Amino acid sequence: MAWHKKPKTNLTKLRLLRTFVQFIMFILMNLTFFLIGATWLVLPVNMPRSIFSSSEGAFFLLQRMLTMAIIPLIPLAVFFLFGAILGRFFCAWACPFGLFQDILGYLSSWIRKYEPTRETNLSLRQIGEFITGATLLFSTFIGINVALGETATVEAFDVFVDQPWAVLSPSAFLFTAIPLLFWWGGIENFFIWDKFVLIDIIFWLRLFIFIFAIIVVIYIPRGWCRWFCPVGIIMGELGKNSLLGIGRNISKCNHCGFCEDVCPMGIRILSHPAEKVRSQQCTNCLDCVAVCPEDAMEIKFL
Amino acid sequence: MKSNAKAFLAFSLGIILLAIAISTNQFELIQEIITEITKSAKAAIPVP
Repeated sequence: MAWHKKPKTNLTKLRLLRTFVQFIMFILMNLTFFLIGATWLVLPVNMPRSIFSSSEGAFFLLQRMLTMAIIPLIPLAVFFLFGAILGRFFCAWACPFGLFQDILGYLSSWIRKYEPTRETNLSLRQIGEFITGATLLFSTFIGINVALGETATVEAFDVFVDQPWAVLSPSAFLFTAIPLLFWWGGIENFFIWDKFVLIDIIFWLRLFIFIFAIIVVIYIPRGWCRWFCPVGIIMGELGKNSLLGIGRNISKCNHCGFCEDVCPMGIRILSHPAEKVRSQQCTNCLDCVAVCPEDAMEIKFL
Repeated sequence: MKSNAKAFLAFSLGIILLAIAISTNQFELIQEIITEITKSAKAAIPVP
């Protein structure tokens, strides 16, 4: 019987390839660590600018420009161009915080994973939509006050003035706060613990959100990407209709469900139109293509 | 509207935004902003 077929064993190879590409992208995005200068390269990934960054995450730049009362043409162009063509491709293949989540997933593979219901998925995604909307509204509010010269109002918001979401984002904590803390005074002073006087109430709040993100990701693969990441929310909306996508050949598909079992984003692939998986969650990771025993899952363009 | 039409619409919007950004020298502005962010990040590291 067709459904007794085993999944293809290409998955490990594909995941290794993806991890390799993610590492290469991570190095390329942090070239300043190797004393190569910063660039204006803007990418749709969850990566704030750190002391080592050679590129900029579009959502962090978007906030920065809004709070400076500048129309954020370039970040918006990056979202529209990449979103229209590649969808959430960068989430799976380039995002440093995605790589962090994948590594956590591999390290915790002995822990039983949970797959939330469709309703839970939708409800939790609203939190991400709220984070995205609130960040953009707040950044615009700061920008308007900057344009009007209301410095007292702007200064009242203290650390939230430049990039509001960067203060709370776990990726900003991982890629900027932690390196900054340990880099304080240079590598020769790596183990001077006095520098922890830098820690304040905001640090503990960031640490709490970071630990929360880790717990979510350990129990639910790519949990942060699915529900809370503002880049994922924006790219997901554009990616639903992206030119690049995953299609299902009806004549070959035997509904074995292996594609759904391996999907790291928990997409119910078989309930989507066969023409293309039209999900805000699909990152074009290609796990479903690699595992399909009938070669029914295929990459589609247009 | 068909999905591909929506994708082409988003792509066109992206191209228009990019064209306006280039014509208003926003790339130079971005370079300045990024240099400033990097400087302020480095300035946060006190020299012992």
